[in-house]
Parts: sequence; structure tokens; C-alpha cells
Amino acid sequence: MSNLEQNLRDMLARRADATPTAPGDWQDLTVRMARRHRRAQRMMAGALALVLVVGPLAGFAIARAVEDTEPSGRVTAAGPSGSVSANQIATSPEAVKSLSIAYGGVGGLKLEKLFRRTSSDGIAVRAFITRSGANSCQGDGWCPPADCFPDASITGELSTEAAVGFATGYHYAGTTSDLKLTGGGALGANGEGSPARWTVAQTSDRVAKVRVSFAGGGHDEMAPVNGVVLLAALTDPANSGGTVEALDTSGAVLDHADASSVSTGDQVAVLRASDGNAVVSGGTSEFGSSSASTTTVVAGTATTTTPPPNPGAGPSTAAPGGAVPPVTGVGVPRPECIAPPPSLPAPGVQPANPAAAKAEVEQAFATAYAGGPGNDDAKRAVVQDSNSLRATLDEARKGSFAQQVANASAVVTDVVFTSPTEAAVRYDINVKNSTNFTGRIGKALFVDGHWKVARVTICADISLAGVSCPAK
Amino acid sequence: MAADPAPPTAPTSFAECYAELRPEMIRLAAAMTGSSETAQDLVQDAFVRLHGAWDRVHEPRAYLRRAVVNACHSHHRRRRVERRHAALGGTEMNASLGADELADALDGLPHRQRAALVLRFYTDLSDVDIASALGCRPGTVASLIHRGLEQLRRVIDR
Repeated sequence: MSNLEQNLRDMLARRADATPTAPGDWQDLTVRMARRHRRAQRMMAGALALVLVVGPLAGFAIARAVEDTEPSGRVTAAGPSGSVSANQIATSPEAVKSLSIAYGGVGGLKLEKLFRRTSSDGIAVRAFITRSGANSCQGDGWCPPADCFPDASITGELSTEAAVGFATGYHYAGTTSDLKLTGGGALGANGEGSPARWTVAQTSDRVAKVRVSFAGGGHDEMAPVNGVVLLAALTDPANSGGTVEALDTSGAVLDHADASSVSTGDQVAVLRASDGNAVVSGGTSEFGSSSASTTTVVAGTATTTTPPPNPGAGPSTAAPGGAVPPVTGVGVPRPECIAPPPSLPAPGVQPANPAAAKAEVEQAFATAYAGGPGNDDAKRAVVQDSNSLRATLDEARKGSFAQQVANASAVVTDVVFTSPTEAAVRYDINVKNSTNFTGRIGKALFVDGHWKVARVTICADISLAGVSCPAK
Repeated sequence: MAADPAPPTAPTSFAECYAELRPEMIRLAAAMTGSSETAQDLVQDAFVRLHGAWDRVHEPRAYLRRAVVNACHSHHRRRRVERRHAALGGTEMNASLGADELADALDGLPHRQRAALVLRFYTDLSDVDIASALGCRPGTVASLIHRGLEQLRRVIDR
């Protein structure tokens, strides 16, 4: 061994031996482990966010570039710098909303390509239809007209030199009108500096061309493809007005509509609740842009309190429970699209004195639902199995809806005896200064020599106040 | 001086491993860096890494050795950058050899040469084990050691 090697060994040994190796600091090690774990979690979250946000955008941009059949250069990159910024998506409710539709909002249904075109302003437009099937007859036998509810959704992919966005609309089976606007909105107005508006419409077979003149100055026109048009033009979305016209082959205007009727309207969604009531959800964008959501139940439960027009809100694209939007673009739905109130059953064997029995039923409901201070014993006397509901009733009186419970009253509007001991009852629950629940169907039972409100009925109604009955 | 002899059996739990291998790894890190505090710090981090990979590590000693070598590499790289910045800022550090010329010369070697020399002349590892710790082929180890020694000689003879 050379001197150098021996000197090296000695030097290294001195270095190592000069270092204390007292028992380790286990606490310090634990802290470092926790820190490393948190760092790993942050990195994982960052990577996930990157994949979720950038992945779909990159895929969209690549697919668009690859799929483009027009001369290259017509459709360039999606952003000013040649790439789509996450900010564009993050700040554009329409883009986010449409992303949810395109990538999962329709339950993974196939996007069937309708057409591809470029507007006169150079806006590249791709339109797709996602068929969900007509849903005419409901489970309880109610069959609304076919055009009450959409049988497909329309998805549009739009891009200008400066911005990219989505358009959404609907397709209704059985539509007879020459022109029906089913969607409208804007893109490129969130900092890209290239605002544009778009309109989705459905037409009849007689229509050869649809044209739009937006209030802000943009124009576009196209021939319907399978009865669908998607028009877009560079214009200021602040000017919400405009005119959409449907023309026949001779150029005559068959029908026209206000271009703002959908995009700024108060769309109302109607769905059939499980108990046969029609639920109306309306007046909001799902992003809650400027108005509170108003959900009311008609023709069976709550009476409508139609929300006021909401100029700031976009069209609602998804109703609670995955319901489809309504046929009407503005205001309340057509009467024939509202589910009728559930019907009472056919009469059965009548009690000995039907008139007296009916009066007792009416009194029982009135007493049971009377809000405010009252005789609790009297109330309990007219409710089946009231002893087991004592705590539940108290909870309803003191809960989140105590005010409504205190101001409630019930009025029976119809009684059908299905047997000498059972009756089906239609009644209204009126709540002072609040939503009324009309046309409800309940049950009365002849128990211990008296007609009482059935447990199942009182429990269903008490659930409206957010309180559940105990199991029997 | 020599390195601790290898235990007859590998530690079976992480705590046992920490108690048993920590002193050995601290001495290795100290030999590599010449700093007690740095060695303690680097070895703690190496054990944190080991803990994260504990389920898939079959030879904790080899894993730790490699983790310590890599950590020392990162430490030297950081220190070089700091020296460069200090020099730019007008607080140039004394670059000349200090009292322990050999130690300073060793610290001035490229990382792989320095690590190969420490692993050979402090831990007495074989070429295969050194290659495993450095992530290179065993044939490269002899070359690294040879060139490292040559470099040390040149510096010391200067």
C-alpha cells in the first residue's frame, strides 16, 4: 500500500471517528417523514390537477388539429400563444360547463358528429349530437307531448384565433315549429379579447337556411343539418339582443326569434318526481352566477313560485337528479308539459255514514296540521300512532323549518273512501308567507273509533321540514 | 479506523435498522463530507427515504449506502454553487489547501472519484459493492479509484 493510500485511510478514519454517533433523534426522523409525506401528497395533487386540466385540453387541441380536414392553417392553435391556457377554462363558466357535458355530463354517451363549418368570421365550428332517446310516457302513465323534453343534446366546439369554447343546445323530437332556439351563449370574452356569440337552433324540414344578426353587429348563416344549426359570430356579448330567422328555399322568412331568448332567458326544467309530482327547477345557471336556485313542485306538492327573469344567467343545462331541460326556453313550461296531479283511487266500500266520516277526516287533517300554539293532546288524538311520533313532532316544531311549521295549515279538498276504514285524501298544506304544497295525496285511517291522519302521511309531510320519523 | 463489520443478519424492522445502521452511515457520510452536522442531516434524510421504500427494500444497508452517497453528491453540488455565488458576491472563500491538504484535495475531486475512494479506503468495499453504491459497472470502479488517486497525488505534489 502506498503512502498516499495509507494517509487517505487515516484521514478518512479521523473524519469518521470525529463524528458523534449518539443514539438517533427519532423525533426528528418522524418530523422529516411527515414532511416528506406532505410533499409527496402535494406533488400527487399537482400532477393530478395537471392531468385533469391539461390532459383534456391537450387532447381536444390535438384532436382538433389532427381531425381538421380543411387546409392547414385555417384553424390554428387555440390560444394567442399557440396553446390553451388553463386560465381560459378556469375563468369561463361556459367552458367549464361544456367540459362537464363533453367529458361526462352526458354520462359518457357518444358524440355523433353533425357537421363542421367555418363561419364568415373565421370561427371554426364542430357540432355533435348526443342522443338520449325520447322519454314520452312516465312510469305512472302520464305521457307528455314528445316535444316537452329533449331527446338529444347538441354540443358544439368553437374556436377562433384567440379563444376556444363550447356551445350547448338541445334537440326535441316531435317539434313542429320552423325555428326553435335551444341554446345560446358566448366565448372569448374573458380576457382573450375576441368575444363571440353563438346560437343553437332546431328547424323544421321546410327551412333551407337560418341566419342570425346579433345586436353587437355579428352575422352568420347556414343550412340546417338534420334540422340543427349552430351559428356563431364575432360580436360583443354585452349586446344580448339580435334576430334569428328561418328562411325557405325562396328566401322567405318562415319564422324568427329573439337571439337572446335562450342565452339570457329563464329556462325552466321539469322533471317527474318519484311521488308523481312535477318538480320545476329554474332560473339559474348551474354555476350560480347571479341568482339563487328556486326549486318548486307543482301539481302535486308545492305550488310554483316562478322565479323572476334573470338576465345574467345562462341556460340551465342540468336539472337536479339528471333531469332534462324543458321545451320552453323562456319562462314557465307549457301546461301540457307539466305532470298532472296524481289522481285519487276509485271508491270502495263506503263507511256507514260517509258524510260524517268525511267531516271527521277534514277535521283531523285541519287539527293535525294546524301550526302555532295549540292543544298537543288534541293534535296527537287525530294522528295514527302519535305516541311514537311525539319526539318527531317536537323536533319539527323546533327545527330549521320551525317558522314554516308554525305557520302551516291544511285544507282537505277531496276524500275518497276505499274501504270503511281507509280513505284517500287530497289536501293542501298552506304555509303563511312561504311555499304552499297543494294537491297532496294522503291517507286517513279509522282507528279506535275515530278517523285519523295516517302515520305514513304525517311522516311524508314532516320530512318536508327535514325531520324523519323513527322506524316503526 | 476500519468500517464496522457487517452484522450477521439484516435488521428486520425499521427501528432496528435505524438503531443498527445509523452510526455506520453517519461515519460514512462524515468521511465523504468532512462535516459532522452535515453527516447527521444527510443520514436522517437517507433513513426517511428508506422508510418510504421499506416494503420493497431487501438490503437496507446497500440501499442506505447508496442513498448516503447520493445525498453527499447533492450536498457537494449545493456547496459548489454556494461557493460560486459567494465568489461573485465578493466574499471569496479561501480556495487554497488548508491544514489537511489531503482532505481538501479529496473534497476537490469529482463526486464519483471521491465516493469510490471513500468506499474503498474507508469502508473496504469490493468493486462490486462500490459499483452498486455508485450505480456503475464494477469495471468502472477501478478506473475511478485510479484516477482519483492520481488526482490526489498531483494536488499534493504541487
